[in-house]
Amino acid sequence: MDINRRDFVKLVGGSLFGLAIGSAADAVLKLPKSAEPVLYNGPRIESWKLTACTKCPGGCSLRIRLIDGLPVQAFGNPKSPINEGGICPLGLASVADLYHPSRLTSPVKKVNGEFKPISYDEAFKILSDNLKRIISEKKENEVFIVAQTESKLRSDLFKKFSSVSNFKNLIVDGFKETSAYPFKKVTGEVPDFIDWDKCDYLLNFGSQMTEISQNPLYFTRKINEYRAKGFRITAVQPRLTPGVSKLDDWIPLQPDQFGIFALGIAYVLLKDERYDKNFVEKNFTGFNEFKDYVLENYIPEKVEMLTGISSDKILETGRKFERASVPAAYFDASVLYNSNGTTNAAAIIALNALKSFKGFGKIKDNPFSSGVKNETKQIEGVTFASLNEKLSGYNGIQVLIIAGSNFVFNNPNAESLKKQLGSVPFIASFSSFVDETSEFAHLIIPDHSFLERLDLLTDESMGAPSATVLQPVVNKPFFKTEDTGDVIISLMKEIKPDIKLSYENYSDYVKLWAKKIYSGKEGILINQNKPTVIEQGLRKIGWSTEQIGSFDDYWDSLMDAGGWWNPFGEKVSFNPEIKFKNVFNYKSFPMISSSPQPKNKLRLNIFRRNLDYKGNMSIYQVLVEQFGNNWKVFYKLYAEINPQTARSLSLTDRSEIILKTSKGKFPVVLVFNPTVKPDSIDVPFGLGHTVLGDTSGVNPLYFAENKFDPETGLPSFTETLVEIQGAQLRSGLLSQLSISEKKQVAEN
Amino acid sequence: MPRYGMIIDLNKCNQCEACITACKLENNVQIVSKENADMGRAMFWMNMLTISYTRNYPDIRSESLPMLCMQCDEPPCIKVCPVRATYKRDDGIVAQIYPQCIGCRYCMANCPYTVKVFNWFKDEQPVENEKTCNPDVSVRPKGVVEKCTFCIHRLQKAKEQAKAEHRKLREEDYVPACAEVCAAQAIHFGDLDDPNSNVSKAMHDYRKFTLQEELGTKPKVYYLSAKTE
Repeated sequence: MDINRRDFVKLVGGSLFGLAIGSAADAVLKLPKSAEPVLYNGPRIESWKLTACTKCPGGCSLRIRLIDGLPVQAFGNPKSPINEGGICPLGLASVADLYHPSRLTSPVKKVNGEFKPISYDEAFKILSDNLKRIISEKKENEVFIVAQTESKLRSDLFKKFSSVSNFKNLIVDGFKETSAYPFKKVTGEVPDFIDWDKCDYLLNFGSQMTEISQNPLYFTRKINEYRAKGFRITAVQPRLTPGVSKLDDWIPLQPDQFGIFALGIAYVLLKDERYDKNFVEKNFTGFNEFKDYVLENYIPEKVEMLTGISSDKILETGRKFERASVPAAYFDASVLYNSNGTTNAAAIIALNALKSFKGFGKIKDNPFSSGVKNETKQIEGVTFASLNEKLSGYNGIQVLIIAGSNFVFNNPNAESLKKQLGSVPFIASFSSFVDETSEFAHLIIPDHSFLERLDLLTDESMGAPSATVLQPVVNKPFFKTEDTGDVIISLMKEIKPDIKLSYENYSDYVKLWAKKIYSGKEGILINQNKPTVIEQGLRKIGWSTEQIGSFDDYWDSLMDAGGWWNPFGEKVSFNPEIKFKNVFNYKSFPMISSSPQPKNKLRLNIFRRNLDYKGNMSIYQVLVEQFGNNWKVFYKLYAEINPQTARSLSLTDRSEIILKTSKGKFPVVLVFNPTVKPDSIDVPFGLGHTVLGDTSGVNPLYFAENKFDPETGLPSFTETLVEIQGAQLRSGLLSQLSISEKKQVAEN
Repeated sequence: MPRYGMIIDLNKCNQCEACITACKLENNVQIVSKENADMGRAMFWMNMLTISYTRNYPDIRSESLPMLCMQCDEPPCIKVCPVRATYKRDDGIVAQIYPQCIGCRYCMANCPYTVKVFNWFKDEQPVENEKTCNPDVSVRPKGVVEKCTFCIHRLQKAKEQAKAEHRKLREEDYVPACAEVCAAQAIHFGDLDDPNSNVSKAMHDYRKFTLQEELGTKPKVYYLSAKTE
C-alpha cells in the first residue's frame, strides 16, 4: 500500500490524539482541546503555508511555518512583489493572535456588566432582531457602523450592507480609505500610485512611508532604489523618523502648518510661472482666483513668520519642486490627524495640481475598481465627525456596530466618549478581543483570527493591481468564532429576505472577485517577484491566465501561489478636475498658525511607531518589550526632549518627570534626543491600554486637547501644550501627585 | 570550510527593527518581567544602537546600526571562559555550549561589544509566545550566558536537507532570521571566503568598516556606512 506524507501525518497525528485524549487540559492555554495532544506530543513535522498579513494596509504575503499543523512562526514570502521576503515586527509577532489568552473564543453577551458566552445562533438573533426592530420603526438613520478594515472586499461588503439595509451611517476606518478622503472631496478621484519610475522629486508631507503607510515594505525598497538613482526626497515632518534620517532634506514642521508651507511652495511656482498652464486652464476651476489668493497671502517671508521655516528654505524647496520634470507632493492619512488636516491636504493637492499631478498615476482597467460606486456615494461625508456629533446628540444612535475599530483608545476625548457609548442602547462588536471600545458592547461576535480567514487583499500602490491571498492556515477555526463577512451576508439575508445575492457566504464572495481576475485573463500569479523573461515573451504572443484551465484549477493555483498581480497592465496619467470652490473656499485655507506658543510650555508631539498600528501592539508582549528597547525604558512612557531645551529647564537625562496638560498630569521618563524640535516634547503612542493585552504605561492621547479635524473627525496628535512639572528623582515621583491625580494616572 | 560572515548596509537599513523581533522569536529569547526589564535585564541578541549624531539641528541626522554578536575571529570572550563553554567553530561561528556554562559572566565582561546577555531567572514566556516557540532552539536555563549564534540551528537543518538531497549546501540554504526578514535587504550573509558569495562581493565596497577595529578582535560582522546625499 502506498502511503503519502499527508496520510502519514494524519495517521501519526490521529494516533497521538487518541493516546492523549482524556489528559488534563491546561485551562490557561488558548488552544482547542483537539490540538493540545499535537502540541505536546506531536511528531514535529514541519509544513509551510502561504497567507497574507492584515496588520497594516500593506497586505504583505506571509509564509507561515507550522509544526504538526499548528502555526508557530511567520516570515515574508520572497516571491511576493510587495514585500519580497521582508516582514515587519507586527507581522512577525502576529502568529500569537491565534493563541492569545485574552482572545474571545465564542460570542458573548453582556449580562449584569459581565460578558457571558452564548451560542452563535443566539448572538445572531439578538443582533438581527435589533436591526429588524430599527427598520420596522424606520429609524435606520439611528444605526451607525464603524468598520476598521484594510480589505477592499470587506469594506465593499460593508458598503453593500449599508446600502441594502439603508443604514447610511457607515465609516470605513481603513488607512487607504482615510488617505483617499481629501482627494475624493477635492477632485472626486484618487490616484492609485506614485510613479516611482518617472518621478524625479518627492516632497513628502508627514507620511511615515517606511513605517506606517499604505505599503511600508514596498516603499522601503522603492525609496532605497529611488535614492540610489540619485533622486531627492524632502520630508516635511515634525520628527526625524528613522526613514527621514537617511534623507538630505528634512524640514521640521508641525503638521498643522503643512498647508501654509505647501501654499508657500505654490507661491514660488506661481510667481516664477513654472506651473502647467494648460492643465490648470482645463482642469482647475477658479484657478485665477486661487492664484491671486496665494500670491497675496503666501509670500515666503510671511510663511516664514507663520511656520518658522526660513524663506530661503521655502524658495529652495519651491525651486526644487518647480525644476523637477515629474515632481510629487505626497501625503496620506497621517496628515489628517490635525485640527486642520483636510484643509492642509487640500493645499497639498493644489500644489500637485500646479504640476498636473505628474508624479502620480492611475491603473487602467483595474479589476478591483469598486463595484459599489453608488453605495460609496451614499456614505460619502460620513466620518468620525458624524459619529461624534451623533453620539453627543439626543437620541443620536440606537444601534452601533463596531468591526475591529478601537476608536476609544485612539481618541483624546475618550472619557466623554466612554460615557456616550455607555448610553447607546445597543452596541454590537465583531472584535476578537475585548478592547477599550468593545468593552462597551452588549454583544460581541468575535471574528476569526486572520490565520483562519479567507480574503483577497488588493493593492494598487505598486502601479500594478495585486491581490494577496489571505487563506486559513489551520484546518478549521480554533474556536466558536465567526467570519465577520459571513455574519454580514447572513444579516443582509435576514433583514431583506427578498434580496438576491450572487454569493451565499464570504468564501463565495471572495471567489467572485477572483473570477474577475480569472476572466480578465491578465497578469500572473505571484510565483516570483518580477515577471521572468519567458513570461514577458509569452505575454507578447498572447499568453494569458485562461490557459491555466477551469476556474477551479485557477483558484487552486491562486491559493498555492499566494496571490496575483498584473505587472503588464497599462498605466494612465492622473488628470482630475479640481473644484476647490465647491468644497473648500480658499478663505478656509490655513492663513495663520495656531496662537504663539507660550515660552514656559512645549508642544506635545505624539508620534506613532511601526511596532504599533492604531493601538494594536499591546497584545504582543514581544513588541511591548521592544517598544522600550531603543531608550531602555521598558513598560513605561518615555518622552524625548532636545538636550538644549532640557538643560534650559534644568532637566537631566533619564529623570522621571510629570507632564501637565490642560487635562491632567502623567509621568514620563525623559530621554535626551538632539533630533527633537527644541520647542517640542515627543512621546510615543501605543502604551496605556486598560483592558487590551499589556496594560503598562500611559496613553498620552488621553491627555491631549480635544482637537479634531472638522471634516474627518480624526483627533489631533500634535496640538497640545505641556508644562513640565520639574525633574524629580524616580523614587520621589509619585509623592508629587495628589491622591486624585494618582488615581487618574492609574486609570489611564 | 566556509567562514560565515555578515555585512549590514546602513544606507539601506531603515531601522524598522524587524531584525530584532525576528531574532527574539527565532531564538526563543526570553521576554523578562517588567521588574527585571526595569533593572536592565531585558534580553536582546540584536539591538538597534544609535551611535552618533552628525551636524546640528535642524540639519542633524542620527546614525544607528543593528548590533549583534560580531562573531570575532579573535573572540575575547573565549579567552576568559574558565570552562570552555564558548568556543569558535571551524566555520568561524562563535558558539556556546549552554550546559557547560557556569554563569561566571567573565565573557560578558570581556566582550567589547557588550552583546552577551545573562539568564537571571528561569525562562517564562508569555502564554501566547509559549505556543509560538521555535522548536529548533532550546530554551536556555537560568544562570547561563547567551548571545547571537548566526542562527546556527538553521545551518544544521540546511546541512541535513542538502545531505538528504545529495547536493552541496547552497548560499541561500542558510540565512539567519535577521537577514531573511529584512525588508530593506540591507543584511547580506554568507561565506566570506567564497569569492562568488554576495557577502564577499559586498566586502569590496569602499564604505566597509567594522566596530572597534583597533582592538584586533577581527569581527566578521561588517557594516557599510550610510551615504550622505
